[in-house]
Amino acid sequence: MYGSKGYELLKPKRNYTKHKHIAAVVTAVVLAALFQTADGLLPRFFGGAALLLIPAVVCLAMFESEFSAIFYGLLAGLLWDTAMLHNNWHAIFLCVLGLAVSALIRRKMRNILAAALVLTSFALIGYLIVHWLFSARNLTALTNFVFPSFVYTLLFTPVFYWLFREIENKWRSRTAISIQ
Amino acid sequence: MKAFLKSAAFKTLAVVVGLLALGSLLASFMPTAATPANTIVGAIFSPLQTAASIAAERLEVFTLSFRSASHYAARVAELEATIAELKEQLVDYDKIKERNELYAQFYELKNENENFETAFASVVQRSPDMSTFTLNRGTLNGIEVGNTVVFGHNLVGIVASVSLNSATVNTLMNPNLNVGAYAINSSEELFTTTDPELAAQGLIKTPNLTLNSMLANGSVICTSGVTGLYPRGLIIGTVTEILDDPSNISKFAVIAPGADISHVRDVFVITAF
Repeated sequence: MYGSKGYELLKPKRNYTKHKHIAAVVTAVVLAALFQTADGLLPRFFGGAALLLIPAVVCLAMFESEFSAIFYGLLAGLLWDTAMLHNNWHAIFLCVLGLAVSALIRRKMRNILAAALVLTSFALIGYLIVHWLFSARNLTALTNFVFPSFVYTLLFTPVFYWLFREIENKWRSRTAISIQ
Repeated sequence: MKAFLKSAAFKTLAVVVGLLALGSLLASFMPTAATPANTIVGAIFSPLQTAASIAAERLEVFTLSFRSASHYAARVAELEATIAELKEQLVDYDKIKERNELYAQFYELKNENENFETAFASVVQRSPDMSTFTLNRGTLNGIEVGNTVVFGHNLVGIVASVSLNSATVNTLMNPNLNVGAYAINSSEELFTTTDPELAAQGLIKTPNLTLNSMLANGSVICTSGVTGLYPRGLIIGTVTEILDDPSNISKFAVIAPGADISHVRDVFVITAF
């Protein structure tokens, strides 16, 4: 009987919580991809679209290791490319973004909401500028798509930050306690 | 930075990006133009996308019915505004059409009588019994007392009084107005007038017909011009019936005026002929 409580906490829950954590993050990414790509699930904002996968990858990378961030970015990018028929361009972009955000948080920045907003802003600016350069390249596209999309997408950053922080707190921290 | 570039994570990224780039290159040679990764992910993701698409459609239908109160109220208001605008346009169209017909008829009259001088005027006020109406033109437009008022070829009345910018007209429905006339089919000289009973029905009459009168239903009565007040040949109306006069032994003919006095809106005043 002695010590059985601590042993039960440690052994069976360790992998279980890890899998739950991965499942939760993957589900969040898939749902973000569905909401972003399915026509009509999210309303348009002054002509702009919500590019949910960008804040999603930024926020999840803030709580993940560099390796995990690359692969979650890869998943998000492939889902985006599959829906939009772009040959791996988004996958490459989100892989790089995931690694960059994770590395910055681990080395240079604090993991706070403001950092998430700044990083998402930079990622969105980069993405939207490239998108604009390879598409319309006129003022109308800037005012009718680029600016509204930037604002609209940025509004979702706090939601994703809260979501991935909750996922982290709920499963990753419990695993850490059980290991201790 | 060097440490980061030499890290396992960065090397992993380089491999992943290399593989993705290779996939893109391969895709350009494939008939489907899809990368292998896209093909695999698409197979798994497509059913979810379909489900999401159905959900989006349902959501749209739901929101349509949900927002019906405000959305359709706004739509109804918009359509009502459009209908009101179209009605206004229709009224304008009717006015223009009527005025055009008037001008066309008067153009004919003017061609037949080149010496006519005219002024265009609109009816702005009517007496309840239609015996008089007021025009929006007066002496400033050359209108004088005694001028003939016509609607196309049809006699309407005579100017009874005039001011600078308005004129009062005694119409054919006024019992005090007697007009020298003749019947086209018989050329017999007559005069027309009315009484309150007939005027109430919008009719006039030619009293005191002789026993050998040729008037019959359908006879057209025109101005004779013998008094010099009216030009000759304006249409007064058409005989609808011949009746016995109860006050004496003669007969009289009931005439339906050529112009519908109660609905005339625009007229011409013949200022000189």
